Amino acid sequence: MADSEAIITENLTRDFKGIHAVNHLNLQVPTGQVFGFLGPNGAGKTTTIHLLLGLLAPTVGTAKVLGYDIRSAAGKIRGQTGVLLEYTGLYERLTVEDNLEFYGRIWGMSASERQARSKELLGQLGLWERRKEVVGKWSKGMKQKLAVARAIFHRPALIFLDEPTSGLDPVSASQLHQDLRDLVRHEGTTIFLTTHNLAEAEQLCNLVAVIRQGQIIAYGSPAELRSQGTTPQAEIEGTNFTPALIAALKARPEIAGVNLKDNLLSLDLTGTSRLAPLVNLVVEKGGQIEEVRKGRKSLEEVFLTLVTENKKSE
Amino acid sequence: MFKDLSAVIWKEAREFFSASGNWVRLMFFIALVGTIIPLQQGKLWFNSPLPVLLMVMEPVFLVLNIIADAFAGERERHTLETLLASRLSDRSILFGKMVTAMSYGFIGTLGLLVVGLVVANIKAGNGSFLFYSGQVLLGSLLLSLLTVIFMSIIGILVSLKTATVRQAQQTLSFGYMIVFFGLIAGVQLLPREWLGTLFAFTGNVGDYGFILTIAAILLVLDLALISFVMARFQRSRLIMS
Repeated sequence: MADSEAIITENLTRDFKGIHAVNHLNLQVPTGQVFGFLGPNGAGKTTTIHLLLGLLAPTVGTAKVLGYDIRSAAGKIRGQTGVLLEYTGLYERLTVEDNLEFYGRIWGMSASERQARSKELLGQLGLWERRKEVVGKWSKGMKQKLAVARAIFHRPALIFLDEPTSGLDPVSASQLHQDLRDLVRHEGTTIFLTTHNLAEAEQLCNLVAVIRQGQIIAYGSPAELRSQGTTPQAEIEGTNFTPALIAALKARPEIAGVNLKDNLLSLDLTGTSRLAPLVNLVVEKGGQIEEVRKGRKSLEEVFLTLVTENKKSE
Repeated sequence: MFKDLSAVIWKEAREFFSASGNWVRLMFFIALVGTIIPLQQGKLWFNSPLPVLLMVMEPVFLVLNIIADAFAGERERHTLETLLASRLSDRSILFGKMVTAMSYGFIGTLGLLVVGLVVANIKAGNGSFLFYSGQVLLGSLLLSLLTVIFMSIIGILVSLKTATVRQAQQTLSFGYMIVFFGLIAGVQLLPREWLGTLFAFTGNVGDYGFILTIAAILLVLDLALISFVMARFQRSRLIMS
């Protein structure tokens, strides 16, 4: 495996009672990048993480994580990764510093290292003054922050984060995004992130894959995905969009689809169509234009299109 | 391995004793049993089979109290998955939890021995210092240790299978009652000739021989159970449960 790849999977498959939870998954995650793993509930995201951590054995196929085979060197993989899974995994009867202390001991850090790192991370998160508090009394967002701190406590080469901003307020989420970007930039850490928050994926990830029913249905940078199989769009806001006007627009070869909702006319364009002739046509047919916008679909729209189309094609 | 083991023991102990009720329960148990019975027994406390029986039975209750939480508690509180995703080896997790429960039970035994020693001396010492006979001391320490190991492993096996701490505690308590009353009924149902042979055997081997024979049986059982629980403990099985 090349050093440039933190994760490589080849036909990775895991069956549960005859059902493919993960189905011939071929994936490459470059080192030092934020990789977004997107998919609806039950798509196979968590099973994939379990396989990559060597917590489950694949039915067929193989994978290498940080150069180690998931079947034969799972312990070494777990030794160099940090995780924040579906639940925070915090010991709620213990204090904040005891939670970090425990994982620091697990990772073999010395007492002085543990203390310094606790101070550094809790200080960054604004939790240092509250380190003696019992975790069980904290809000979900505070626990989530602490769980992220625990995941990166030992400066792992690769971090698996499952919905890391779930439960965080927008300010904390934005701060966490910044922390994750800094981690990647300064320490070269690779982040494997699953999220339902597609705006988050768009902001954070260099590369994303969309998984559905255990199979990858799209893979690339957010920009590539937005352009992949989707058309550029234009939106015209205004009034007097008559049926005759819409029929005239539909007749134009550069228009793939027209949709009118309230005072918003959405046009799906073919290729790199120019907008000016279309605006002229709308004006000629009596349309009263307030605003014209041209753009591509957001990652969220692409995701919904991909998942829906894939569902229809079954 | 030792560092990993000590990390798990540290966490288990920290978590267990963070609930003040657990300390109180241990102290209350030692104070109650270690005071009342030695007061009644007086000098007999140092050389009768009763303290040995108490030292064997008492830690069982203490171990049952803590071991049910081992995996069922982690599962119930959603901490198991993260723990399994750490670099700890299977053995560190398994033995770390087992050693903590064993230590708790065995501390109970040592506490009972010390408190009983003081109380019985106050009651029957008459100015001289009385101490346990060799048989009572050996029986109490050796059989108690092997029993807490036995109970810890049984507890781990139950805790691995059950979804909640309450369910694990109920299963263990019910199982213990069946074994306890089963043994009493079993001895009563034994044919007279068999009982005669048993008494003859104890008479032949003496007190030490009898203690060592039971210890040997418990040791074999413990070793067999340790092999079994090591085979049963699989990350993938726990992740899917």
